[in-house]
Amino acid sequence: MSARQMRLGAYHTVSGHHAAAWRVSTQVNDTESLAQHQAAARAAQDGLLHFLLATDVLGEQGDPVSPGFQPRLEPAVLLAALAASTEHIGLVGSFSTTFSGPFQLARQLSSLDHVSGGRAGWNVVTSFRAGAGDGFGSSDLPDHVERYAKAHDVVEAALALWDAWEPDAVVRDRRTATYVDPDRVHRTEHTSRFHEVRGVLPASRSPQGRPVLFQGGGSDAGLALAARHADVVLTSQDHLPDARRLYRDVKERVAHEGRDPDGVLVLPGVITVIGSSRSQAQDVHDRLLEQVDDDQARRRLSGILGWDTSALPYDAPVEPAPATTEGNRARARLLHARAVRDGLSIGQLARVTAATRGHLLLVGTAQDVADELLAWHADEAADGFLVGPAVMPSGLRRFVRDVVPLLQRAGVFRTSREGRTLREQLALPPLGTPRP
Amino acid sequence: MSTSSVLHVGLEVDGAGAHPAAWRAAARSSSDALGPARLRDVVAAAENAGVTFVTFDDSLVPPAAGPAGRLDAVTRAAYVAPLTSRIGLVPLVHPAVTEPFHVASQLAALDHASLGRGGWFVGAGDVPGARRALDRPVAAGADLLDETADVVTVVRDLWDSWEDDAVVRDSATGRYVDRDRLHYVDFASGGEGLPAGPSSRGTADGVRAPFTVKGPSIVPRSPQGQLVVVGRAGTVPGGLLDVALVATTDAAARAREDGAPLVVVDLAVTLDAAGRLGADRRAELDGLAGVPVPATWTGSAVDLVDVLLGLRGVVDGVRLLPSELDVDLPVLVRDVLPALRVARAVPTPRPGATLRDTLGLPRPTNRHVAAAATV
Ligand SMILES: Cc1cc2nc3c(=O)[nH]c(=O)nc-3n(C[C@H](O)[C@H](O)[C@H](O)COP(=O)(O)O)c2cc1C
Repeated sequence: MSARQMRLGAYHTVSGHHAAAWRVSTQVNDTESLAQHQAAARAAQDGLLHFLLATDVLGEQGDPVSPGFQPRLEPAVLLAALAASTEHIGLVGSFSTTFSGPFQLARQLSSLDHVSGGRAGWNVVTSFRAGAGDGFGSSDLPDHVERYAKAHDVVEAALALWDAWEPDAVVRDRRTATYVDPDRVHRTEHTSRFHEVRGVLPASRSPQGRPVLFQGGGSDAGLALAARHADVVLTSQDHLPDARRLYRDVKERVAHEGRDPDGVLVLPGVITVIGSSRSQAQDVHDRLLEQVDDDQARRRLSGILGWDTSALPYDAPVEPAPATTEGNRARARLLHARAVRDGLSIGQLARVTAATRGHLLLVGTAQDVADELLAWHADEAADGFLVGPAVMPSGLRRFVRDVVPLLQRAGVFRTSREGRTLREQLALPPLGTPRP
Repeated sequence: MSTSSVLHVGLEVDGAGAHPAAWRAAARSSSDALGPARLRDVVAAAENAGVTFVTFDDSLVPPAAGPAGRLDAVTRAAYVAPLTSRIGLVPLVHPAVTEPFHVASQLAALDHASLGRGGWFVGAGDVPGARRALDRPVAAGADLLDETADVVTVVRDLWDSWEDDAVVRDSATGRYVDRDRLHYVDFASGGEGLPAGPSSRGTADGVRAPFTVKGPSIVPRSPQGQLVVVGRAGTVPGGLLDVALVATTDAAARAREDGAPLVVVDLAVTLDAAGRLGADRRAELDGLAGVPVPATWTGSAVDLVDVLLGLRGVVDGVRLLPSELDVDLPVLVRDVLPALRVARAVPTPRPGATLRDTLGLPRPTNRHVAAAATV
């Protein structure tokens, strides 16, 4: 295995990523059913995928409810339950730094790492929906700058809390009645304008030392956070030249932070529709498209762009996007670029968004999908992918059964597991690698 | 509410046992007292023995003695959920130290993941040191009681903020969720001054900072509708509880008057085991502990069965706190619970039954549906 290896994660859902997936799926999708989550997790594990990502978007349940909103199970609980139902797959959850303090986040993530035997990951998100603060007495979402400043602070406090437990602090010496050696547990003193955290995390050092850190914000501020702290950068890219540029940008930023660019992975999301023939895959895609509700799709698009597009007719050209949005900045930029590049009207762009929310869409045979992934990987546009089947559960089964072997045959995807923890499986540099 | 003649048996499963020296004496204590392997074994043994529910003690501050560094209780409960099918899972979450919105969504998710076996053990008592960790004032004393009542109220509000049939999956119209069946809770707590958070940094500790929650929850209404809320009598108003825990049977009548549907008494036990008397084991543990430890009941399995049979009609259940899980739990499993079952004194939790079903508690009608029905 000498070729640069591809890392794969499952963009976890039980009903598929396409907004209309639940309307065509052969399974009655039940997002509250642990059994369906377990089946998806095991399918991903059987395919040797490195991890699954359980997302959580605060504010989706507000009024009006986010179009296409399907409820989820809260990720800390879902992933702990999946830890007991799987043996190898990494368990990554989205947790917002805007509405949780570092102490509770650090404790729950450390606990997840313990019960999973070192398979925990934290997708650091800042929340972008207007109603995200409705559960927390915060009527307005803090602005973009403030959210990212806080994200830095929460991550840094959490890192300090995890690091305060030395690896061999738990000694369990019965004779001297010492369970924990107090000299090897340090008090954290973290003071900032956001938090003053002083104390010791009541959870011992976890198998990985700390969870693997993921980050998915693609704005300048998001990439800065990623460059400083992330092990894995999740992106949304639907155009190879742009993806290559972003890939280089991330690696340069990482190097600029004094970190090893090869030690930080860039994984774009990709939405897949795989058929036994091209025309069959296209049929499935067309059927999905027919089921898209144009009004809902438009509201979804408006939500991502951060401005109301509902007054525009279907055929209206896409106006230049405002330079900044308080919402999901990178995604808004990407969708706008897509519309300009492909000459899409606002209605067409909304349909694309319903299918992919901006991610790369691959419709074709397993060979078509594998070829495209291999090309992006070889072209240094990606170190791997976050794979989101448009329709579940069939889409993931197909990917594992038909695409994974092609990637293995190409010599870029593992045929067996090496390493136990998520960090080891991803072949990330061990912790403690010097930093500036 | 009259007491029935069945007795529910609960079990505390934290760490190596309720005695702070348990990890030093017990057979497996050279291994990890706090890790997942022991937890799986203990909960599986309790479920096989027909225990109604387990509690997971927790604290944000390290214990005065014994192993420090235990895992978050909700995480532990969620971890064992798919490994079990009959037993109730009741993690302790302290209302003064966790965002109510997160408490509500995590516990609702636990109820979904366990198919209706979730409960909430409402933490009580001051948490010295928590303020420094959490960066906000933490209420104490009478303020803490008021804040606890507020937090339990809003969490219960959030559990009802989705009607049972809010997930409509209406393929014809493309609506997955019917937003009209989701409700704001618009809760404002009591308290004074600035809301909890960095802005209240200058506020003295022990002050009750107000909070608001608009809602709705992000998790659909769970199988039990409302999880089973367990709390110590006197720390949560009885009307907000499903199960009041009392320290002695003398307090049972009072807890019932206060409105708690079920009353469960705590009983810490050190049993005769492995050819040794419970009292001797207890003395040895105390010697190892180095700090004063409250007394426990000591004696044989046969005597414990008699004690428990005598509790029928006095309380609805007992929560056992074994000194050493490795030693006491096997005796409970082998000798005590089977004898209670032969005497028809304990219910047999059925696979698929919710914790409410096993406890004989009705599933509450969603308040928004109930309100509409009376209009
Ligand atoms: C693959 C992927 C998954 C994401 N998952 C979540 C999520 O679960 N919850 C959330 O609030 N944001 C999620 N995000 C959004 C970002 O992390 C980020 O908060 C958002 O893009 C706004 O940041 P930006 O303005 O820097 O782009 C995700 C992004 C990507 C690329």
